[in-house]
Amino acid sequence: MNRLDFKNDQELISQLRKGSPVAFQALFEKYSSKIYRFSVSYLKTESDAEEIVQEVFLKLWENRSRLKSGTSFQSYLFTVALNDIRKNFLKKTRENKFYFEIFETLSAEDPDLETRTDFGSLLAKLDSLIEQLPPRRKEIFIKKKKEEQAVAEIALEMGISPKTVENQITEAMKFLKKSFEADQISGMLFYFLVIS
Amino acid sequence: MERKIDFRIIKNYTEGKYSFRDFKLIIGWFEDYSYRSEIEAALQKHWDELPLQHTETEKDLSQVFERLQKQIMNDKPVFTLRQRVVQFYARTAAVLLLPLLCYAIYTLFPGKVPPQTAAIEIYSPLGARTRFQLPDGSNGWLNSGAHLSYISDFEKERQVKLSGEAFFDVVHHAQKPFVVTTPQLKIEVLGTKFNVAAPEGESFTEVVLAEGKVRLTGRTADFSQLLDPDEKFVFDQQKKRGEITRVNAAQLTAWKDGILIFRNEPLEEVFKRLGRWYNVRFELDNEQLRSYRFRATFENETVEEVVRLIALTVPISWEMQERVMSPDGIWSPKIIQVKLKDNIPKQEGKR
Repeated sequence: MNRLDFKNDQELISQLRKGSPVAFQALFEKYSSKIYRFSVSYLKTESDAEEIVQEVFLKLWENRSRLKSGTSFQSYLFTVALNDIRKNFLKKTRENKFYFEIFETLSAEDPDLETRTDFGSLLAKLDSLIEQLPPRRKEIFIKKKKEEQAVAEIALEMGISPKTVENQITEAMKFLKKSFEADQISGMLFYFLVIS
Repeated sequence: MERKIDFRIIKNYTEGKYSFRDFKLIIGWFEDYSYRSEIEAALQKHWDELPLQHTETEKDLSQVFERLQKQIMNDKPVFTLRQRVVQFYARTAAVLLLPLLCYAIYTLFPGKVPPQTAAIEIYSPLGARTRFQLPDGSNGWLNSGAHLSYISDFEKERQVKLSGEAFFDVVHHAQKPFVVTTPQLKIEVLGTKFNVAAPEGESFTEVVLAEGKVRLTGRTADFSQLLDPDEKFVFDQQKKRGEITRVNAAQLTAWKDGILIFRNEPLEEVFKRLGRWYNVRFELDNEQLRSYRFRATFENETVEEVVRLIALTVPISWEMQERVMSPDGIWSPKIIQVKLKDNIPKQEGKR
């Protein structure tokens, strides 16, 4: 709807300090989009970026009485957003550690995987490939790679021999490797066809 | 080990062009404390270059704002340590006292312990709408500042008390009428959809029926009246009488969906509804102004924007008085004084 930029930041902030929800909403309308676009470019998922927007503004509201009028409001937003983005980025990195370990293994044999500049889509592809594994194989693979369980433990838990566990993991890795190779060949083929 | 971070890699990363190797570098920079200020500088540069508004399709963040509003509304008051300690002891004492109290009641009034009927209250914060659901499955919306209460054995008697504005969608139950009482009216229904506005501090109560049938009975005046769909009943406390007019119920109940619709309505009526919506008191000083007809639909605008938009079609100027806190800590509502503009074209509303 029509956005009327009728108040400057200082005015809005002095009203926010007094607890004005209207000023809070005006600031949200003015700055939320920038914070969102900034966050999504580092965190790469919409829900994470939305979370940052929410956290930044929640902190703004909670600290409204301590806001200083002299300093730039934009640099205040930046500082809060940066801290939240850093935290979220590191948390996500820890959660996704097993994806990176798989890529480490795969790129040891296929160095191209390490330098292809579409790593974002490679990650998405890996995720969907794991989903495509037969249910039992997938379960074993996740237990080993993501939950970092020992082979013997998985074998005991699932009532199968350690050998079977190892075989399942080898098969899964083989499947991933093959799929990425095929992907690359078709990519090259595409490149070849388009160029020639 | 290299001590400098490569801004280009980060820039490409933000644009989605990055390899596994780049990504590992970036993770390292974020993790390693010695890169902290450099990372900050790189991101600061990016932030400074980013425009406020995006030219292409803008991401809709209204849901994020709604979540925020809810979080903010639930803001718990902050207690000091001393208060917390006192609270802790008070609570503990209350818990310890309870069995004693029960025993006392039991021995002092054998067999006469009253049934436990606690009142349940729903309060809609100022400037927000609140959805409610009742134990019988009936539901609805409370408008800004409205207050609804009922007793816990609601299933036996479907009775609620209301102050402020609410929309009800009542589940049909032939044996158990649903009764809404406001300070001035009693509204009895079997199963319908209707809107009641009994604003605190106002001398009128308004009922709009969307579906079904309701019976209205006066509490301060002696009357009984049936209402049909698309009829509006306004009871005037000063004149002690009510009046029925034909209306479009869908328009008058659209507030529950976050939309305000006005179709050829007198300005007085428009400001009355806007006031309820935004928790603002409009003061019109001109009789002629009250009867100006107005037509518009508002959705998600701030009150300032709405008044500005009205001023585009109606010759008004306005002045806004900020809320002030009285010595007892209660905020007065925001007051907007609306005046008829002089014939000489002057500047728009002063602020």
